[in-house]
Amino acid sequence: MIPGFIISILTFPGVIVHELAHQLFCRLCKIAVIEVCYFRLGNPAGYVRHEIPAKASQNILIGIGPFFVNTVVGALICMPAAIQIIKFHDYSNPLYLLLAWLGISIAMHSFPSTGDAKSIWNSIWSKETGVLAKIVGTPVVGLIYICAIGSVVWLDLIYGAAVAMFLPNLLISIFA
Amino acid sequence: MDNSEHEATGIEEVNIEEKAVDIFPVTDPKIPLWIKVFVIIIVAVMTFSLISSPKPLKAAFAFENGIRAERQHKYITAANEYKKVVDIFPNSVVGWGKLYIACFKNKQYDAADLAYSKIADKLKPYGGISDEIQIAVVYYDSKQEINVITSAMSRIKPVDFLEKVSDYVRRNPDDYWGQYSLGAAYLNLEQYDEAKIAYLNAIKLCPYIDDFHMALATTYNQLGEYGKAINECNIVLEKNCELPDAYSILAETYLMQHKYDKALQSAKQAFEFDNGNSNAVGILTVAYYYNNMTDEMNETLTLLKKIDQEYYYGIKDITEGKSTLYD
Repeated sequence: MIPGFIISILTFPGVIVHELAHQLFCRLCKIAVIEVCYFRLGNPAGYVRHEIPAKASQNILIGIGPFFVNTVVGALICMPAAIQIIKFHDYSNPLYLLLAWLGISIAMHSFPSTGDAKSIWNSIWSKETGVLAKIVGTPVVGLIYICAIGSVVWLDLIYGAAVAMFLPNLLISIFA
Repeated sequence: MDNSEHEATGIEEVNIEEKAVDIFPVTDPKIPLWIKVFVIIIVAVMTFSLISSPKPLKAAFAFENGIRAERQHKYITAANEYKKVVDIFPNSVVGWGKLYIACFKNKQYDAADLAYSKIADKLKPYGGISDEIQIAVVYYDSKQEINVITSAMSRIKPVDFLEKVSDYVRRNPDDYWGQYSLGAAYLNLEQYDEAKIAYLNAIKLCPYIDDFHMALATTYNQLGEYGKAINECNIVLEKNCELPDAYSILAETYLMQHKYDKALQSAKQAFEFDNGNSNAVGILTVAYYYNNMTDEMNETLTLLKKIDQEYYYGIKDITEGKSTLYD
């Protein structure tokens, strides 16, 4: 087992983008942010403290925001490198290897953490929350926990590599 | 791994929420300078990636088109697509490997050799493109002795060449390259029945090599067995429907049958797939001649003069009526 903090250090850009995504969605939802730790050597490696959103939907959005941001940013950064490395087995360009590392690092931190899940869970099961939010939010929380468990067997890294390296190639194969 | 989280704060946040308007009216905590720099770097890298992407995308689409062309047995198209790939990624072993296979299948041996030279020292013994190359060329391995004999073909008398090859075939009756060379020796001496037997033996021993079928088709043409010649060409074209040499032989068959319009059609196809192929240019010139297309004929004749001087004079004789090969 590789300690989590080592993985965090090796993939620190992903942690920072993850927290920035939380902060961005707080701002989009007009939720005040109290404190942000973009990166640290600890558990969790980063966090965002914000005021409790009035609506559960806002909490869900803030919680799963990094999933979209990290996925898109990771895939876009990695695209030229993914084609060169995966499709053409060309590892000669160090810049593209750097892009691959950066893209995978960012994409592998797409999964919301269990902290995010707890926050969403508390929010959707409060008395004020409507049935629809409960229906939408509950499987989201379930998925987050599955991903968190999967991270023990490197599901986050597998997801990051799949999104950053294989997705562009898959899309090309489909649309070519 | 649970190492990052957002945190909607608990009891204290009740107060915070109540006083939110006062405490956090519009602004978040100040974003540190290093985070701003980080964001700028990420945005710059994203921009760079987006700007850099069209070329790899073009290469990737060309690669996919090449693979599709291969599946459709269109190796000229495949080779052209793989050329685009290696133009963009000159260090791609897969790109050069695929180009090598496509050129090899098209009998573009010089281009194939060039492609192979780019990757010869990078190929792994087993797996991936190495295996593909191995499969593509496996039947083309020939023994050193027959290589030495055939390389001397143009330097020695046809009779002496036949003697040497015959001796080799007596000792190696199962060597299909030996049988093929024997066929060539007989063809050279215009002993077409013997050439046919040798080529049929070669095909019986190894039916996968296009050259054997094309040589047999040429022999059938000389024997006046045009239907069989067309059949042999079609066997080859089923495996590579863009092979210029097969279309050239087909055009020759039609010329011999005096089907000049069909000959022109086949000759045009050969030329379309490889306009630097002397056989294709030559047979197209002859097809133009028999279809009374003088301007086009002069144009291709001029082109042939640039490509292959010796062949040019042979074709010129036909176009000037000095040779009645296809009359």
